[in-house]
Parts: sequence; structure tokens; C-alpha cells
Amino acid sequence: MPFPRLRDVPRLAAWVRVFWRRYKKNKGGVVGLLFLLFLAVTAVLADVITVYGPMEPGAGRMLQPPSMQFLMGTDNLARDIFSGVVHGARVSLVIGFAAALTSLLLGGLIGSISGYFGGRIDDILMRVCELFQSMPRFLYALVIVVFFGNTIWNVVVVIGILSWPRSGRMVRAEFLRLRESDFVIAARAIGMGSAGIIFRQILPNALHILLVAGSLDVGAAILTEAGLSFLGAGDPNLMSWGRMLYNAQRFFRRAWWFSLFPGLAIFLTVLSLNLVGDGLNDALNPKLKRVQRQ
Amino acid sequence: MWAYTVRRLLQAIPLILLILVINFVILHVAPGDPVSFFVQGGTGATPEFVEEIRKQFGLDKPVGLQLAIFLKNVVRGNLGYSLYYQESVSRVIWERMPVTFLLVGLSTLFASIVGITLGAFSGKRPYSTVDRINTVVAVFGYSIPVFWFGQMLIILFAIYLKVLPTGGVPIAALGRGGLVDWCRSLALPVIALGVVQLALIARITRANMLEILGSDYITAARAKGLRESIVTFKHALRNAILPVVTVISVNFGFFLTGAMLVETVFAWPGLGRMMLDSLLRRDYPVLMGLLIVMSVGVIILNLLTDLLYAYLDPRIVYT
Repeated sequence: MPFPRLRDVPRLAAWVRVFWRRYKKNKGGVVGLLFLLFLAVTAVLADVITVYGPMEPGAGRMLQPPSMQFLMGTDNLARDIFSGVVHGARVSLVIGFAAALTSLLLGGLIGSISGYFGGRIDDILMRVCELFQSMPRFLYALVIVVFFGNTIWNVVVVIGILSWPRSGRMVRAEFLRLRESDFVIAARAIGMGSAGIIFRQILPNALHILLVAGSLDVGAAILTEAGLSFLGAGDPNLMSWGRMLYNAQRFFRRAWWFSLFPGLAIFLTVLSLNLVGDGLNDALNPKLKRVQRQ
Repeated sequence: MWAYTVRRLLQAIPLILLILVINFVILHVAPGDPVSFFVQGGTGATPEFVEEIRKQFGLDKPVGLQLAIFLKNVVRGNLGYSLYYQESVSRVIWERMPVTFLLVGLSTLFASIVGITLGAFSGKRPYSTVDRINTVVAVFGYSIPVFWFGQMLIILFAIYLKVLPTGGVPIAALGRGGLVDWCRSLALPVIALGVVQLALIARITRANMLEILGSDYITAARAKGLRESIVTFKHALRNAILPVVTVISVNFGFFLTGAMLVETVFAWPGLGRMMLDSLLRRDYPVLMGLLIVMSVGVIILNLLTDLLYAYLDPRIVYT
């Protein structure tokens, strides 16, 4: 179900109506979307919602269980865990979406070229794709982040570069399907160049594929970032959910709240993103099978 | 069959070479002089000693030559020498490998048994209760951070219910407490790591069961008057679990890194733990060695799976 042009308002409105009618059939997708909206609002209003700063030591006593004053308890440096979880939403969402965008740009570009031209170019690009798929992604991300510095943008770029193969393959498959369609042959007949056909004719008709791939990439990126931070390789200047679990590793046996809440936040966020991904897939790609995970 | 084997082998070799070059580039583009990290550990290093190390690792030669030396060494199985461990890198890795493989192997076994059972029953009766459970388990497994799941299992089963130990040294435990204690100490890490594989395996088995149960040969088997259980388990399931082999193999690198995280939670002395320590110490040879062993290992495993698959499934034509 390709997107219409944004300028064409009546068709866009019709598209949105059809999309929503199909999307809301998937209950999981609706719940996931609601949770993500809730999370986005929380992330934006983080400073308003919380009383104490996430990095502010001495807000209460050390390792205090949840109470009315500290909804999710305090950590080993007496910091407010609720504030950390709320502020961590910003970090996780920014990293997740930025990394997914990087991977979609790369995957979209490589997939388009590969699928449109075919032949030798396709062969070479698909070998590169296999190479990336066979690399243990997390391990490489860890090594690169530790060597090149663990700033948030290094984390984003590394995750983005290592995860393009899935969207690349999906876009390539759509290009293979579309490149012999009548509208492409017509564009070729009026003398349109390859770049014009790829970016102005075929790609707009394949954008919905990127949306499905993207929603799964965001979840995968959030999980990867959490893993990196859990090993102490995240950005040390930011309070992220993974970092809180890293801090909790030595204390969670005594203070269950220390690791329960940050981890639950990761789990629910990734779960919602996966549910939304399935919902989008059912709504936009009704004839196709579910996307393969991992 | 032979032509196919040779062709797949020839495809894998450039892939392995490329991986090695990528590893080499990463470590040499990274900021910081590796020598300084090797010497940092020992106190009072003289400039002569630094030079000595530089020569020993070929770090004074041009980059092209360094790459050639590196490739030659890797092919010979020489992955360098770790100053911290005072031992060759291949030996250091080799010593810790069994512990990690034990964890990965057991959780794969656990995930296969539970996943195939769950997948088979839900494929047999789609939209039944079992199928709903299967869907929940799958969504759960895709979304949960394994290390957090591990922490939660410890809190629930080891701290509050006090029924299982929090983990510990698996091989030493076998000597001390016998088989039962050993199994008990393995239970939590194996479940924590296995849940992701479980989700993948259950999903793929279900999809295959659904497809196969609708095929002609199943109708033929039923028409012959065979009992439904024989049709399901002998005719359908045997074909449905073949792709599980591929799923396990393709995701092996993913499980290996999952094992690193789980090892950290349960304090297991495996490769993951060593990787983490080496990262903090900037022990370059060990890191490089681990990257090489893991990424080349995954390629070789995929190659073997493809070959095994062609052998197991006679419908595949070797072209």
C-alpha cells in the first residue's frame, strides 16, 4: 500500500483512512502505538515530571525501596531511579530512532541500487550484505565503540552501519518486483535517467517497506544500545536504561527495584515497537508474509 | 555433491579474508598506540622495552607489510601473544571456549526441545490455546534484554524462592557437588539465554508445520488411513524441523554475543567475561583474536550447515 504524494491532500486523507481501518484490526499494534505515544510524551516532559535530576546524588538515602517520595526507589548513590527511567526514555528513543534512520538511509540506497541495476552490481552488493549479516553485530559494535570513543553519536553510527542488511534486502526485493512495471517502462520511454527513475518513480512506491523495516530496526537498536551500556560501553555522560542496569549489576541481589524498572522500560518499549512493526506490516503489506526477525 | 561442496568452500574463503582485513583495519584505524597499552600494565617500562614490543608485534613495519604478517600468522593459527595473560592468545581463547560453548550448547538444546514441541502443537492447531502461548512466548523472546531477564531470574528463583543457585563456576561445581548440583547451577543461565532461541525456533517450526500439513503428501498419508499421530509426528514434523538447523546456524553469532551478556550477569568465566576484561585493559591481541575466532567461526558454521542441509534433505539440488 504505497504512500500518495503529500501535496495531494484528498488522496492523502483517503490513504490515512484506509490505513487506520486496516491498522486498528491489529489490537497489539494499537496498544504498542499508545505505549510509544505515552513514552514520547514522558521523554519530552521529563524535566517537568521528575522532582530530582537523574544524575543528582544524594536525593534520598542509598538503596531505598520504592515509596511515595521515590516511586521506583533509589540507587547505590542515592539517586532517584524514577527520574533515571524517565530521562532514560529520551536517550533510548533518540538512539533508537537515529540509528534506525542511519540504517534505513544506507539500506534504502544500497537496496535500491542493487534491485534496480541487478546483474554484477547486485551480485557484489549482495555479497557485501552477506558479509555484514555474518558478522556478530553486537561484538563489532562493542569493539568499535570502545576503541573510537563511547559518545552517543558513535553508538548511533555504529549500530546504524551494522544493521542495514535487513532493510537493504527488503527494499531490493521491492525494486526487483517494481522495476519492470508499466510506470517504470513509461518513465524510461520518455527518457528519464536511472537516478530519476530510482528516486522519483520507484522509491516513493517502496517507502512503506522502509517504514515496516524501520520500526523493527528501532527496537533492535534500543536492545543493542542497552547491551553496550550494560557492559559499561555506553555514553558515560547520559543516564540510559542500559547504564542503570550496569550500575545495578552489583546491587540487584539486595535491591530488586534497582534493575526491575529500567529493564522493564526497555522490555516494554521494544515490545511495543515490535507490535507496531507487525501492525504496520499487516496494514501496509497485507499480501506479504511477516518479516523475518534478526 | 562434490562440486557443490567445493563451490561453497571457494565462496567462503574470500568472505573469511575480507573479515580478517576488516578486523585489521578496525584495530589500526582506532586512535591510540597499541604498544602503550601493552606496556601500561607493567611498571617502569623503559623505551627499549617499548621498542622491543613494537618489533615483536611487527608494529614498526609499514601497514601493508603488517597486514601480510597478520594474515600469515592467522592462517598458521598464531593470533599473537597477550602480555597480560603471559600466554599465546590462541591458548587463552582455547582454555575458555568450553565454558562458553557449554552455555550456548545447552541453551540451544533447551530451546530446540521446548521450541519444537511448542511450534509443532501450535502449527497443528492454529489459534488454539497452545498457539496463543506460542505467540506470547515469541513476542516476549524478541523483545526482552537477555541480561535483564537473567537478573530477574536470579531475583525470583535464587533470592526470593531460594530454589536455585545464582550461577557460579560450572565445571568446578561438577567436581564438588555432583550432577544434580551442576544441573541446578546451570538452569538459570541456560533459560536466560535460551529464551531468544526458543522464540525463533517455535515460530519457524509453527510456520513450517502449517505449510506442510496442507501439502499433498500429508493428504495422501491420511487417505491411506494412517493414524493422525503418525501423520503429524512422523510425516510432517520430520520435515518441519529441518529449517530449525538453519535458524540455529544463521543466528549463532547472535547467540554467542548473547552468551557474553549472560556470562556477565551470572559471573561465568567464559569468553564473554574475558572479552570484557580485555576491552578494559586494551589487550589488543586478545580482542583481535576473539573477533577473528568468533566471526570466522560463524562463517565456517554456516558453511557446514549448508553442506549438512544438502545432505539431510535430498530435495535440494546441488547446482
